Amino acid sequence: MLPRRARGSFGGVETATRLAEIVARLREHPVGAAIKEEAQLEPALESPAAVLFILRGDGLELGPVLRRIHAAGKLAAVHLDLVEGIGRDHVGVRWLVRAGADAVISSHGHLVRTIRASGVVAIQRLLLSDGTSIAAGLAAVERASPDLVEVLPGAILPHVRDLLATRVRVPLLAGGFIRRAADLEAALAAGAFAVSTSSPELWGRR
Amino acid sequence: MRPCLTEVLLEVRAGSPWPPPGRGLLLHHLDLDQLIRVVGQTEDPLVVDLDSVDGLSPDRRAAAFLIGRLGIGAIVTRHAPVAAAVAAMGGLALFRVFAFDSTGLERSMIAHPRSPAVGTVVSPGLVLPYLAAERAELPGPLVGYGLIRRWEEVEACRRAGADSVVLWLEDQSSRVDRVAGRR
Repeated sequence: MLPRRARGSFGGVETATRLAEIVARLREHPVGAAIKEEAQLEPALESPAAVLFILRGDGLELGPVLRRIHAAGKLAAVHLDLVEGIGRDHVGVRWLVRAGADAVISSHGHLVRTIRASGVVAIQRLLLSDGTSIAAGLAAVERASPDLVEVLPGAILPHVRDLLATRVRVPLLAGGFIRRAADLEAALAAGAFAVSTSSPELWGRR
Repeated sequence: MRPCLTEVLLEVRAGSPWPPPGRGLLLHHLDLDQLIRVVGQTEDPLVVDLDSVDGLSPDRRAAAFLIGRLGIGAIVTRHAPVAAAVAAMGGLALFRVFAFDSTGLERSMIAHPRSPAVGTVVSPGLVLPYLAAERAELPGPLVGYGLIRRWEEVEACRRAGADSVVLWLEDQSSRVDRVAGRR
């Protein structure tokens, strides 16, 4: 049975409202907590992090987790491509939205429109592996027009920001191998407005 | 078989600059005809990214062709059975893993053949200096490949344990297409 969405209706107006909210929360607390295992949830809920990025877990049973996140006054972005049990398709997106996700993350540009039409924030991952992939990834981002772009690995953003600067016109998140305060500060200085990290010692930083 | 792995490999693909002679080259994103012509044009040490060559299937037969017919000594692939086959044929197999984040790297490493004759290519190579926690788990020889454009980045990767670093040249006048197009 599909989970019921706790609040709101679907559509563009709600997406804009949620985007404004998630951006505002991340600007205030620019370090999002990336949750890779269940044991990280409790510390993340107790941390100052305002947005939790769910990277693993049973996508079909996320409802209770997302309700706890909301009860703690935080927002949740769920990674469609990484949680288990959920199809990387339109139905999978709608399942996560009804479970309570505030944002859905995917590398699949063709799902961005579905995510936005479902009333939540669409975060497209831009995977930087080499010169060939970066061109293809930027073209995919331009076609999809997500609300936010997450650059991975975020730790290298300071080295490649010149390749992205004129092509990505939405706020940039940085995620991946940001483990030290210096990496965090470098990513923010390179143009990311926020980062996601699984390193709990960074979750409280501003 | 040609010598292959050098401390710095210059990245060569269709449309990229033709690099100065005397260094090792990593050939990728060429079609098969271009690849054959480029191999015939240079005596430099060569590594081939098999998965990106149009006209070749990433399989044992293609690996045998590269090693046996073209004399390629080292092959990059993200397909574990192909890496194992390259090693069995006496070539240097370089299993390519993608390090976008720690979760992705873990998943990528699950498929690594982990045999002594199979090294590791980490992409993007730029991330190598950030992988201190993972370095011991990456079987050598270790190659950093992807988005490395500056000598200080090459040096940082070498300090991080890379045996070889692939340098992406962006600004040269002669182009591989021109060389590859010669008959």
